[in-house]
Amino acid sequence: MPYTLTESSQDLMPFTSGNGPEGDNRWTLNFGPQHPATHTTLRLVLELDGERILRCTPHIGFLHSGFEKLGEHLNYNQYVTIVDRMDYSAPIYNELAWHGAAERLMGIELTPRCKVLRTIAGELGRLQSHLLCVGAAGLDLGAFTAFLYGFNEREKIYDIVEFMTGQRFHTSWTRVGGLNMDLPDEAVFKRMVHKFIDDTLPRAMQDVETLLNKNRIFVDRTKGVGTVSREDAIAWGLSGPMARSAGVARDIRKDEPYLCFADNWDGQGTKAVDFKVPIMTTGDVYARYLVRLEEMKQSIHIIRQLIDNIPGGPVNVSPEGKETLPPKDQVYSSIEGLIHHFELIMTNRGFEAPKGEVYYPIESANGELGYYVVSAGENVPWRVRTRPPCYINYSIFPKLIEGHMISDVVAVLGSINVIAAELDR
Amino acid sequence: MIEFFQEHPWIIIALVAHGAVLGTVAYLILLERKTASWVQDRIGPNRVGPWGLLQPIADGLKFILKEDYRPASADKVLFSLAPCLMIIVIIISIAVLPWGGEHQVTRTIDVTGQTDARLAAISHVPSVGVMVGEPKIEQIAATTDAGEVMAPARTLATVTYRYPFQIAKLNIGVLFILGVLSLAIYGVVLGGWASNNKFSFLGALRATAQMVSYEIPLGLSVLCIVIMFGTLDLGEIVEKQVSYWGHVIPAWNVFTQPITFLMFLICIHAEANRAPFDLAECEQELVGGYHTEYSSMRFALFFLAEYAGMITTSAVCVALFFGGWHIPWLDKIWPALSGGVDPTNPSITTSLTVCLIRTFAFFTKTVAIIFIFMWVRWSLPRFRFDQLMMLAWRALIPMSLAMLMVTTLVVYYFGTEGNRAYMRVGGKMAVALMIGNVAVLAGTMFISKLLPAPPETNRRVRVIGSRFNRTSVAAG
Amino acid sequence: MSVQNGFGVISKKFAGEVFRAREHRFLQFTSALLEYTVMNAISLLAQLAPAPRASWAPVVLMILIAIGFAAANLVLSIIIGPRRDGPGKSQTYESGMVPIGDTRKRFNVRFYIVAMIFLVFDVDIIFFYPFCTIFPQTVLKQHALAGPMLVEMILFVVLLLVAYFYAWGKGVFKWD
Repeated sequence: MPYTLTESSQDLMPFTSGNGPEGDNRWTLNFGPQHPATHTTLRLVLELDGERILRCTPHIGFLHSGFEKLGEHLNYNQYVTIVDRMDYSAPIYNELAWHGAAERLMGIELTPRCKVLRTIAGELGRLQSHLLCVGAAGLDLGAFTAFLYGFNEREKIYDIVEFMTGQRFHTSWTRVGGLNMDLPDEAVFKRMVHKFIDDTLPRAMQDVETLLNKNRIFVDRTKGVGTVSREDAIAWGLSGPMARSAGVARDIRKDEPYLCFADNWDGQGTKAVDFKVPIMTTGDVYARYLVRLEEMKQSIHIIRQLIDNIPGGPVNVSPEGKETLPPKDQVYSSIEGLIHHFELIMTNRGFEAPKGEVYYPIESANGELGYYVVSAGENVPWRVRTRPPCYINYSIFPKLIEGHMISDVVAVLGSINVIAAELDR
Repeated sequence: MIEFFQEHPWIIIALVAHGAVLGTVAYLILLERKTASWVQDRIGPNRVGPWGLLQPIADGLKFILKEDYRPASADKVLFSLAPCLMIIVIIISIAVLPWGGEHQVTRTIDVTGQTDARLAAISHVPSVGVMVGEPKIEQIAATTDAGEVMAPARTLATVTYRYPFQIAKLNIGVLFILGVLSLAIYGVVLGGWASNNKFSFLGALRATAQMVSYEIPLGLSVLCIVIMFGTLDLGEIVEKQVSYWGHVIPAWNVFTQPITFLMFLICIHAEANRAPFDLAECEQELVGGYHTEYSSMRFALFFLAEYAGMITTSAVCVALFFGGWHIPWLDKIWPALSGGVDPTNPSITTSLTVCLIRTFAFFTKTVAIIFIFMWVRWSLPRFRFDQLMMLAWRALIPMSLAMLMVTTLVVYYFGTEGNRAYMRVGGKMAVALMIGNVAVLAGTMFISKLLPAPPETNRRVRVIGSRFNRTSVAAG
Repeated sequence: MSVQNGFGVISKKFAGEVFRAREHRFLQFTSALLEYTVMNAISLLAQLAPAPRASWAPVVLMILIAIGFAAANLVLSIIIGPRRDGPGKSQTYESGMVPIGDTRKRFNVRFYIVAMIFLVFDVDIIFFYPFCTIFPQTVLKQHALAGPMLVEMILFVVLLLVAYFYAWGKGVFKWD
């Protein structure tokens, strides 16, 4: 049973609730964990004076699943099924980050084709997550329709992801040094993505923008609510749209480029993909909403550059390094391939990572998502630590909400886009 | 039996209207879900019956079969009383809706053997009706087959009377509806308080403040119409709108009072606790608001009351602004639709069919207004509490007061012109009202520029003893 | 020694009498006005007497139907619905947690201020109803009272606005 705050546990509450003349008209309200607006299982203990929030104490851990501990018992390929479950609004991001870290540990340079596919998948994931968050910005304020317009398009992304990876949701698509599978049919994939980014998504975004952007009620509800200053954003370590909406020009894709965001990513001097990082300075809920909308447009721009130029060649690095699975025809036709496959698949075998520790961040939809991996030279990591963007972004929430009203809790919470599974891991 | 209902037509009308309104409520819920699905590119309920037409029945059955639960800490009596109070109040409020004008009936009654034939004839006039002229009493010598005159001769009385085709024709109709509907607050407050749940209590408080605040502009915008016709009877207000300006434009109040109509529409949204004013029950903040703890039929009563309240307020809106049962232009082809009995009072008709057609027209218009409710609900985000109060107190109340004053002046200066003897709004008066509307709109825009800017309500107020006053790294 | 007033310069000795005379004249004027108003109002009301056909029986029927409907529904669901109880279930819902503190205690006063202001305004608005019903007919009949009625109502609205702006200035419509 989770720790329950009672009136006697004074340590968590500096105001004595309900005692004395000061706190006599003060309410303590449990907002969550079972509450429609906390999206998942969060708990906020709100102290209220009427509608006004005097103090907010977030409690986390309701969705704790021991994901990080599991990483110490699963090898570098198996653990991808676990990281999928962290930020489920865009599962593919977790995979990119995790295997990026593993590959940095082993010093593997991916093939250009793999890089492009991973980049496209990542940007699709960003669209997925932002569609959810932008829609939820409407939902939390009572505009259910905007939410469904966003969700409708997420369905299309799931179709693309299913075609690409064989799985709609928890894809487990990446492998060390490559991917689980190559595209089944490149032409079909291109057609699907083109239809999505050229037709359906822009129209849906247009709908959402017309519904909300200049809606007087929406703007009045979001402008100036939950304002983060630039200093605060830096001091609290915020990242992603939270930081960018507060004027912090920070995007890992530009600052520590990876995949196709780095120059010369294919080894032939190709420039990094072109995109702009939207920045706003007001730092309120409305700014976060607008930043997310603009990021979606930039994601479309990135995908558009890459989708017609998917390089040929293998998707996995050469199996010589023994980290990647051999192609299936080799497994079936040659003894080396079969043994190689066998070595990797057996639970007590597998490849061994070199000793060392790495940190590998990527720019996920919510901010900097990084994995810190310590390897003791075994086939499983010695310690895996996630740097979840939600957790860091969520930590400033009590400060943002203090002095606002109850109705603003949902607006601010939605704009942070807290994913409890990632928060608690 | 038939005799009894002929003399008490309101009993049938009451039973039918009650059933029809509650049946419509069930289908309004289906319409709401279908509307939502149209707006949201979905299919909507389509499993139970064709196009989901049996969905309301399934919903109703589900409500009855669910456990009627009451939390231990709730107030036992008030917890059950609140939803009952709410639905009772709403059902009462449909009593004065003017469905179909007035029905004029001529009946011939056998009053043989009565000592006072006239009195006997009059006693057959419905209690809610009025007699037209004196009853005609004639002696008829009944004859046998053989042609012999039988004694005693039969006395037949022909009596003509009118009764309103509505449940109750009260001369304070509008006031009655406003008064009764304002009682609905008690249901919400009692429900929220009796639940002993913080979400419910907060919802109840919000609902109270909201409903009382919007009652003022609601009353004022109704008064704008009342002062044009000098009557509080909804039926009469409808009847005054049954004419044309320039033989083309129906003389509906929505054309002369567009601002009032918009304010009225906003207010009935708030009174019905509908989005974007559904603060009392907003799911994202207060879970279910005042009905968080309710389940089963008690919840269903709240739910029904919300929709039935929508019907009542929309019907009042139709009666006040959209000519009630008036079917424009069709009555040029078929004059019987707009009376034909008394040129000064088009609501009187001798045909029951016309009454039913009018009822249908009235209902269709009501559903159209309700569709606006749904359309708005699925398009707009909701207000925050302070913004809601600001809208009522700082915008709607002064504007409605200004509209009332403008209408009063127009009535004073143009109140004797044209067809005014029958309290109709003539062409000149209509133009003057339109100009008045534009003036109020322009004046509001001008004054809102002059007034001090409203306080920045979205700012964070400084909390004394906050944890973050000291830890803040730099002044933001 | 003399005082200055509208009648010119008079000695103080007679001042009191003059004042008394003015008072008298004022009383005469008001009583005449009152008489005029009352007589006119009575004649007006006599002309406006409504036809006594408002029948409240249907409303009583509606009340009975409504009570019957509500009670029947409650009883029906109590009879038909299942009944399963438990300590966790009977707890008050507060997002799945044990409620902290009591609900029924002192609460922020702002909600109650609205209620008070509402009372003031609603009682004021009640006065509009008789005015609004009678005024157009008065105008139509070109009754002598129409003008005074309009002036009185404008005065009333001005007074209402004074109260409104007083409340505004006092910050009643501010929500923080």
